Amino acid sequence: MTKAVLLMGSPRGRKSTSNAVCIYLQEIFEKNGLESQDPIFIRNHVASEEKMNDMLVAIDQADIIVLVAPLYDDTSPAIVTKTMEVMAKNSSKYANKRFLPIINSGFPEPFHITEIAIPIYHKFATSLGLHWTGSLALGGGEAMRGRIGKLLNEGGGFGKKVMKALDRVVESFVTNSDFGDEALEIFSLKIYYNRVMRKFMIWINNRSWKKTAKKNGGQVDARPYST
Amino acid sequence: MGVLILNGDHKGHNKLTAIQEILEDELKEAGWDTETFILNEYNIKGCTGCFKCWDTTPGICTGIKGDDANKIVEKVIQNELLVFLTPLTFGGYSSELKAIIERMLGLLQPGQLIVDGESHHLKRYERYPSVLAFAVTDNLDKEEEVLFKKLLERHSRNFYPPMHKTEVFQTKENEETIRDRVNKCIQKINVGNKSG
Repeated sequence: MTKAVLLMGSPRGRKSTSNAVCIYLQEIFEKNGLESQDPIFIRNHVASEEKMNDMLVAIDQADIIVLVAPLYDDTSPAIVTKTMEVMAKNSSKYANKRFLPIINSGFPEPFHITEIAIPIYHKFATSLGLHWTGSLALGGGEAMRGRIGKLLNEGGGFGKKVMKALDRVVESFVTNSDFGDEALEIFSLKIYYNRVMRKFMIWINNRSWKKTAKKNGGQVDARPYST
Repeated sequence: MGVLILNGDHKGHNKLTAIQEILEDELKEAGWDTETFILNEYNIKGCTGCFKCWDTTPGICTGIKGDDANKIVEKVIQNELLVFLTPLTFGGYSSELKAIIERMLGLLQPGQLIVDGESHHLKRYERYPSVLAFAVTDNLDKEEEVLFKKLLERHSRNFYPPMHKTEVFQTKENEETIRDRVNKCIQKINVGNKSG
């Protein structure tokens, strides 16, 4: 039986878009006859050598490695980079395992992900001899509200769009074919690029941060480190 | 003029020591006040994405308590130049350097604006430091070098430095060559800062 490991790379933990994606993937892995365990939360494994080793054993035993992570500063979160560095020390172990990163960003444009983060993950994969089976970039991940603990099936049309893409990912694993590199606009850029619509959305977004900060007793544009 | 050097070497490695020392010498020679943090000697955790630095205590990270990140982040915005030193890591930053970069999120303001047709976060401060990013590698890989330059270019769009410049060095380069390349970078930054 083909074994898949799900690496959940969000430092946020359970309440995250990445975890929502992992939960759905685990469900469809099982439905499609792929053996998989609960997603491995990278953040729980990087702090100690013992836990890091546990994660490396799970990766070593898998045929397919799926990394689900947010985009942080145009690239991987530090905890994911740490995992990549440690894996690189034992690179011979991972040769020919299939690897696919699924990366989400709050910005609606997937190119924030595909411009540099995906190429860095690709470089990591090829350096370790992993088989790059493709990647999935999810632009506008914020729309699914994973941050407040929503699952994909609670994410309306946005969630459905992502679930369909994940179904295709799993289908590629089952048929032993490459998924390819796909960038998904969770929120349609056609609508976002409409000048009036974009202005309205940005206004709503900015206003919402301002209101939340005010509610918490802060001023959103404070400059505490000004000299 | 102040410069903050963030050395992202891995614990127990000294891959970046030589370039750090050359850089400090040359910057001092050029009239900069330098301060260096060897990040692996400090307790710095990566961002947990709680957004408290945006919506609860705007500008200050209060989501992670008891580590050393805030005192470094404060210095970032108070200097004119920020230098990243990192072992080249698949074309990107080391995890040590990446952790502190993530903690700079509060230097930006939440929300969005469009710059050159792209969504980006808002500036919190009027002025940000210029950024020099130096990566060191044992064996030069052109693909990684290109990735590193591109990473800085993308990162700069979200961090608003007046100038940014990257260089990739090889560990086997001799001191004279490194010194010469470092100097050229400093000159460019000096010119940029004066004209900016």
